[in-house]
Amino acid sequence: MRTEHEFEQIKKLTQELTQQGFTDLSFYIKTIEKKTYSLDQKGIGSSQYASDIMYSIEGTLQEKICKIYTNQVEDAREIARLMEAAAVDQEQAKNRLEIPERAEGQEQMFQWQREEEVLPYLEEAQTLAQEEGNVQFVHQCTYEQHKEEICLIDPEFHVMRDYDGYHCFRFGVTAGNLLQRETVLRCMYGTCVQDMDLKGCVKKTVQETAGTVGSGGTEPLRSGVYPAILSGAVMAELIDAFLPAFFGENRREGMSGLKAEVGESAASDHIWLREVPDLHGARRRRTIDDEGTPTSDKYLIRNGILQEILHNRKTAQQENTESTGNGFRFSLQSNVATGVTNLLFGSSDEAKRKTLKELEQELQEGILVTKVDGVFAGADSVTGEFSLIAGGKRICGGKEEGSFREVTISGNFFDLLKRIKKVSVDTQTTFPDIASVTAPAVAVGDMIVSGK
Amino acid sequence: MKDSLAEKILDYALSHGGDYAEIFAEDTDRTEIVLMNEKLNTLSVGKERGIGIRILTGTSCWYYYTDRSDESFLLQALKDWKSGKGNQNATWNMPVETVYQQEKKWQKAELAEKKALLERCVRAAQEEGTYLAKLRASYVDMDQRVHIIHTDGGNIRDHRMKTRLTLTAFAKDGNEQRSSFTGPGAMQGFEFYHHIKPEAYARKAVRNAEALLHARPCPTGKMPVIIANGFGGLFFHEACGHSLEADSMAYGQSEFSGKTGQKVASEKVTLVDDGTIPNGWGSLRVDDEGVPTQKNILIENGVLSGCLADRLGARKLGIQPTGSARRQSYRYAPVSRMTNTFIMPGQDKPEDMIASVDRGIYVKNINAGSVNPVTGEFNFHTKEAFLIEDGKVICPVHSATLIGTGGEILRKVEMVGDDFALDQGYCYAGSGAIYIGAGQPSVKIAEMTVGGDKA
Repeated sequence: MRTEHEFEQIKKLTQELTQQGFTDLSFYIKTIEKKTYSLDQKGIGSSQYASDIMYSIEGTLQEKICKIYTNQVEDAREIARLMEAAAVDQEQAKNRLEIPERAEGQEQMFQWQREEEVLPYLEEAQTLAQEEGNVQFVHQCTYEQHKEEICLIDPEFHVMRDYDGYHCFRFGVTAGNLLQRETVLRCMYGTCVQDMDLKGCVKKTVQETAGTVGSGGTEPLRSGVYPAILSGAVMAELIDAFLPAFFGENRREGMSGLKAEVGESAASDHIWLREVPDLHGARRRRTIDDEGTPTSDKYLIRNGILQEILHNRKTAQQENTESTGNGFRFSLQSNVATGVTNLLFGSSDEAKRKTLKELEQELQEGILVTKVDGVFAGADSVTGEFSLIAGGKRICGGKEEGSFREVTISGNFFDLLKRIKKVSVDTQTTFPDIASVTAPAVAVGDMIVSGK
Repeated sequence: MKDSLAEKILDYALSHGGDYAEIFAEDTDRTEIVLMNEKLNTLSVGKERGIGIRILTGTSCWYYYTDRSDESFLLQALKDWKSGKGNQNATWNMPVETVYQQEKKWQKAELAEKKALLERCVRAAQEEGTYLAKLRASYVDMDQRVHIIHTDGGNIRDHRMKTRLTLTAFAKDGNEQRSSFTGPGAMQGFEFYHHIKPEAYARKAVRNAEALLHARPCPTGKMPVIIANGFGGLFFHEACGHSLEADSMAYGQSEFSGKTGQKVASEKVTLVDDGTIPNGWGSLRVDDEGVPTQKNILIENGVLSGCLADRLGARKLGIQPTGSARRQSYRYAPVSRMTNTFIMPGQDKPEDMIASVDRGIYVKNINAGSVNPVTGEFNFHTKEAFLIEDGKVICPVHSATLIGTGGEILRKVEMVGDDFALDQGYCYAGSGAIYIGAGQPSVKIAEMTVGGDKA
């Protein structure tokens, strides 16, 4: 919480709600602070700041569960009215929050950077890109700082805190000529602008865009089946889209396309998928989840074998198991569901990790898919099927030769996991809008393409 | 927000170099209930209040949002704004308040009534279905009060109420599972459910889901596509609606930039965005900058005639705002977005469209889609698709993604039906998730790329 006053307000609210007959009161409080600086394509700066809080309050009134969210806690009578209106019968044992005494978390260092510190870096990044011949404009040049505090208070008024936050640089360029345009958007994470290689990110972004509209030109790709490599960005997006298939509630409800049971094969035998909650320089750093359960470093898949299904407290209770520390809220207003901190994907076999160039060399003929869009709609974690608009480069004789766009790729993600032959050493990470997933490029064998 | 505090904030902004400033204060109650069959799956009840302050200096924008409304905190927050040269002579007077009143009071309901509504839908679905595995029945309502004060002379209070049902039926036969949804919604209170037949929507979702069982793999490649009336309008929302928003149109970024007055579509296409439709799910009396909504004709008989602009976008384009500024909540600065977007009806008959196709796809319902306004490349994912052969709808096929570029597809609109319908959905973009209407009559596209799963 931002001030001692806010903490005192919760104490006062607890007393007043107790007087009105509420028992077992617990609180989840999230405080968010943000600072975002950006340049538009004419180099004009804009900024956005935020200081915001949300409380989720749960209690019992006459054996009914009452759960609400609000960001205003001064008026206890209004809160009581809202809680009473939201009262429902207890359909199962209440998932009572219990925090060990003196469970105070450790605040992690978060260094805020002022606008005047960041803007020169953004201007430099923009200029660097604009100096490239076929860059038409920089459509995104943004530096985002996000800090949040999670505070849990149980019915005994034990308090537990956790802290999260990141710095993120987002950069997008449009390159092209009279006939065609191509856009590429990339991001990188860090702890302060001085330590982040913004120039490197810009160069990679420009190189990728220019490469797409540059040599070889864009040729329509014919419909058919092509041996394919998916870039790290594409693979990371797909993992995010199909992640719900690893969640306990979806497995239980028959809403998961992942058919393997724990201990069975779910991917090629050299593949692993791992959750790392406390990853330096990553987007998330959490020691507890949103239910107070400690997060843990764990494999979801190891040596191709499914290791673990992810649970929050409720789904764990339904399966007679323990929470895996994956109870998270998707938004300030939503109830606890299942989520992750940082996911990493890779291969344990040194011989199967290659540079992208080596992967292309081994592929000889095929395609490199560098971007997909509409994943939120075109990927179905219930069936595992996906059909997505895609673009990328043709691989001819083991080398990139021209680009393609406006085709679809389709298949089944869980079949694809079992077909991964090799992966690249370089990785890419998803944007802050979705789960934090880092993945290498993967050679996945044949892919159905709909094109010309 | 008290007028005296608003006046201090806006005075500060104008006297320190801002040339426009605005306060958006919001007080919103929201309820969401989800039943999975009869069982309560989700209950979310809440209330939030917050403020967004925006200062423009030319086309530079500073935005601050917070849940706090205490004067000292807000005035301190303004210090983060790197103001320009102060204009001590800036004149501005607090405008007289305009209050938008609802003529007929919106009806509210208790939680039990809302839950009972969903239970009725579940029962109806279970009676209808042979292969029904489950019905996910969701109810949402939002009661939002906004106060918008800005230095262009606005001091506006508006009250918005929205409610919607989303009924998703999952049909299962053996290992195969298919789903379909219906989602009626309106800018109304609980009385909306007295005017419609909720059970009929549940039954329809079940019938549609069951009709998809035993679907064949969907063919790939280029072929004619017919998109059914109603939410099929999302196709144009993605194919060209987003590309006609000021944020995209500014600085030549959109594929449609600089083409006003030019032919960009088949002359059968007239595309409209209308925020004034009575009780419309995507309607508003005033937008989130306090500008009255209006009917905006974007493409008229194939000729590009306008775009959607918020204040900042309008500045960049040198035009007037069009009542199109929208945001999910005070946590987002407003940008130009769509309200109810639709293709006007034509004179073709849907049955003639189907009869005219040798081999193609009939899209009965759409899931969602997206667009890259810079390149114009869009995609949308079908929810319910059928194969057409020799002028007849033959069988269901697996869902597929249909793609193209807006500029190209608009010219390929070959037939426009006379069976107009407007449906409801959400749009997710830069200023959050907002409620939108999408509509059209049945439309035939001469050829587009179908991303099926049959090689």
